[in-house]
Amino acid sequence: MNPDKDIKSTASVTEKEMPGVIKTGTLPDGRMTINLGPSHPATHGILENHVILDGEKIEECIPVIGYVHRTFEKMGEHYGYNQFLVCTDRMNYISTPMNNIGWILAVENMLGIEVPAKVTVIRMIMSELSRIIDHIISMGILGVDLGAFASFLYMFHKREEVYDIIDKLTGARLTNTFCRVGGLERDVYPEFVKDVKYFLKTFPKVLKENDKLLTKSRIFYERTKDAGKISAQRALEYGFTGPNLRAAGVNFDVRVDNPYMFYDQVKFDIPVGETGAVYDRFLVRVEEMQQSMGIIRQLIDNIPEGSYHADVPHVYLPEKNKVYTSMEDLIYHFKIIMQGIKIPRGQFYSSTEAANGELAFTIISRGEKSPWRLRVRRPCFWYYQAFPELVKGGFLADAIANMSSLNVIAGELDG
Amino acid sequence: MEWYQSEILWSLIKILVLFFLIITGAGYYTLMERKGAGYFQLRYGPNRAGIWGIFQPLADGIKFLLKQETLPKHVDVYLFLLAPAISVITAVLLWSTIPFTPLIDLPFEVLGKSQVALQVLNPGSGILLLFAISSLSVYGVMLAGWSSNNKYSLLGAVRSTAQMISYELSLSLSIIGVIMMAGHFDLYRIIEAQNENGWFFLSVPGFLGFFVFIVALFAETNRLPFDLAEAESELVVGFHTEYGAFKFALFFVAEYMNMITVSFLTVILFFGGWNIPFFLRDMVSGMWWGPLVGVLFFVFKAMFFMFLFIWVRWSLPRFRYDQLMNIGWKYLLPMALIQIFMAGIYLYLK
Repeated sequence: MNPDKDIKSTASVTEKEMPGVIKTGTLPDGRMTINLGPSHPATHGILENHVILDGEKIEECIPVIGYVHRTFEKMGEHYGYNQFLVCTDRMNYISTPMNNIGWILAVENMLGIEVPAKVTVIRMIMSELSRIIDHIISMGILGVDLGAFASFLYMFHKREEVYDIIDKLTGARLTNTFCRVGGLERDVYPEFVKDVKYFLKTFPKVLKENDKLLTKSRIFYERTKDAGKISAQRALEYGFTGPNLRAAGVNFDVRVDNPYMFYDQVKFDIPVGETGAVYDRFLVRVEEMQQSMGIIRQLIDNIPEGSYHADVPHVYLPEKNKVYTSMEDLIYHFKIIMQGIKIPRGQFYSSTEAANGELAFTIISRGEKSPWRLRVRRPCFWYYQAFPELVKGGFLADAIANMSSLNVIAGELDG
Repeated sequence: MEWYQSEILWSLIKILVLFFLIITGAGYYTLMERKGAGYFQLRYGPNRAGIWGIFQPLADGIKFLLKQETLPKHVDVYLFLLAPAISVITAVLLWSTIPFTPLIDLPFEVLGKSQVALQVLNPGSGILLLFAISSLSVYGVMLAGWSSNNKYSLLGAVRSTAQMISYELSLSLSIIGVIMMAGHFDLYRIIEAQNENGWFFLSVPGFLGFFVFIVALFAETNRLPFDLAEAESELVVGFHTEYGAFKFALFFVAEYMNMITVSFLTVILFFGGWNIPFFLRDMVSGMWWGPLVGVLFFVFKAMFFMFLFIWVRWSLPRFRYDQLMNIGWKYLLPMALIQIFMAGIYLYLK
């Protein structure tokens, strides 16, 4: 994969031999190579791309991945099921609650735990909120990469409001380790409904501003309408999921095709694009935010009363003050801490629709406190393989737009 | 001849005053840009150095001066050092050709003339010299990119050179209508012609010319949506990637100086310079402070265009390289030619 092996750099030519030659790494036939990353303002994370340029056009693009590979799948084989939750935080770190929920659902499916309706509703609300904040980043960064900074910051203000909600709910902003196996870590705070409603009331205004600044901007349209086109067939072959697949014209959404939580009971539409180009991805994301808000609106007034966790003492940690006073709770506390959650033998698969696409966990269990083998289907990893094909023959500037509109998150990509 | 009638003395005073103006002007323009950007983006902008960040330019200047000067090993030293100097020198030279005041009567004669204006250079070729100098400024960018020996810089410089050369053409053609209508290259005469006949902006060829002119100006000054030379998301910062400390500050200041100069130039060519609009003109005519009011109007009009640069920068996305070339050659150039043709018809009908 390392292009330097095949490329003979002219950097060895001395200034005396060829006066005036710019000693950059050019190929023998005169084409120039350039590195996009690993430390480049456009990559927004540690990604590396070796790009061979002919003038401004990209002839070849060779991605090098693995800079932030943290062996999460291997770590999962040693951590307990609740402990691995912390690792999922660090995969797609711009919409953390969704990753947490994906993992927790996988484990709960394996154990066959039925959580109270309240827990599921809260999880759905958080899930859709984090879908919104994820799309904010993706769209905003696209704007920034094209030189339009303002709309990114307008939306980021609203993103901060969501972060405040997450902060109050979980105690952390970025790596919030939302949920526990069997329920939530704690009950929702009293003003939760009010905060979410305020966000729902004010966010459409910002989206409208964003529409004016980007969606309806002629320059933005001309820049993005042809960049990174991909056919539905090709997108499916690459294993695209999520907004990027829908932009290519495939109507696939795990929330509808394989419903989990209460997604079969809420009404929402799935936006589908046509060309799969950057502009279509952008529009799909805008519409998804509207639909996510619609879902939250249906849920926010109907949060059922009840406990914030299922009645599963062998899985869910008891309250701390009870541990000191009650015999049973002390025993359960000891057993969960020392032995972990025991999962029956077997192979389990569970998938959810995360912001970037289908986030799935395959767990092979041998009945121990941690999985025998764990595999995470990180949507980013699958669609990033298409990046060289998407940018080939295009302009350098289009490659940057492609990278941000695909929403390549280094943490999720490298796992 | 008395000592105060010496041409050298008067030139020196004018040079010092105008140099001071452009340096502080460029400094405070950066503050205006940062404040403006702040308000466009729902944040405050600089507000730590003095009230409203009023000392921010000073603090920035001191910071740039005191920073360690680094010289990368792989650069072509002489060209590397020459490039920012060229940028600044051309920017200051451009500024020197702008007339700020109408001729002011003096109680004594300097070299046989009893009138003086706040302008350092007043060549007969007027605007031609201005464009000649502005063409030179591309060397600063080009040499910076070339001598930096860095791929991002090189790409930025190549982009910038192609862009400036293509837009220079439209820029020069776009003012031919104005020159035809004024009948002279001299900036004074152009303003005087507008004093008599109204702003050129309000005439049909002038309006078209203005449109081409202002678009070409954005390209010429390397500002968004034409800031391909330093597109930070693609080329890090383009041609000045390798520059730091005061060498970078020179590029930075040169860009802002250029923007100020072209703002004034736009006002001179299309908005009547120190011409006072409407009813106010009768009120101040004949007063000794009349020219002063004119200069104030001049500055306000120019400040609008200075604000326009900021406004556009923080609102629009950037063009792609091929789109930029398309606009330059396929749209702006024909429009500029049509504008010349229309100016001919305009003069014929008159």
